[in-house]
Amino acid sequence: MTADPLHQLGGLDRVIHEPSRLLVMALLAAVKEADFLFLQRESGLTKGNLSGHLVKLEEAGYVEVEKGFRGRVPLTVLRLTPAGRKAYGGYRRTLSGWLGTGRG
Amino acid sequence: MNGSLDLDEVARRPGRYWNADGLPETVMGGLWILWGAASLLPSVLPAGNWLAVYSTLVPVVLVTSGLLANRLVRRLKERVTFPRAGYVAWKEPGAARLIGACAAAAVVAGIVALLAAVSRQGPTAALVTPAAGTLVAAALAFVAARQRLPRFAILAVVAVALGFGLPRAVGAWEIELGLLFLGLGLASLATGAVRLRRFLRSTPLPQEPGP
Repeated sequence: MTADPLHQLGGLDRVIHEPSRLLVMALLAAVKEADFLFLQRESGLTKGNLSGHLVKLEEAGYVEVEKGFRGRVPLTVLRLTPAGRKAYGGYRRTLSGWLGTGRG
Repeated sequence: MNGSLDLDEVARRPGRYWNADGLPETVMGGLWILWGAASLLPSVLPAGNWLAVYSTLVPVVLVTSGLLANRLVRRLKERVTFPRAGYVAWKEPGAARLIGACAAAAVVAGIVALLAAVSRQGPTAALVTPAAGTLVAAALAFVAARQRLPRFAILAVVAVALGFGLPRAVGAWEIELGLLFLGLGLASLATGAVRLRRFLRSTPLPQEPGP
């Protein structure tokens, strides 16, 4: 892999690069796990929109979805997988490296 | 625009969510009232045999109550906050952060204990309460700045006001410290209750459950 940050930009993870998914990844990266309601409130996304993005993140192996119940209430708990945390960290490093180069 | 800064801001949101409902302040207020009352009792009640037992038990009770407070907040959140605004499991602090927090607590306790030890009768007695007030205020101001919570800045001002005001009004640091925590506890209870009321009003239970 090249060390040139401009070249690295082309390799940015497209799954994470989408703004809504980036927001979801950033929120999940800051916690151990969270439920659907928390993510929906914090992201401002609609239920359908958030579900769609979560499916894509789950398919990429970045998010783990656990469906269960708390009492009688359905509860969908989400957490980043180790691969998801690694991908998000790499994305941030690449982006901040590029922004740092682009400044000035 | 700096994208990195925005992501940092997003990463701070779950931290702010911990304080969004006012429950931690309310519990902290109760804890401080307990600590204040516990340290005031020996000064208020007549001396007797009970004092020796009391002095042995109180540190244990205070430490235990501090440890249980966090658990109580989590229990309350499960009943009040999570059904309304969503469930979150916060990350456990790493070893470095835990060591840092313990070191900071030890330094603070050491400073107050040292001041208390050397100032039983000496001229530094007047420094104990202002020092305690300043240290508590610094911690509260740190939280206020880090999580952008003005209510904690108000509590920091209260801590400074009590820390410097009480020595002028009372003149005995043992009583002053008790009053400092009693006052801080009441202020924290008040800001927490106001925040909780607002949270409950602005965040009703969702009509339909999530997917």
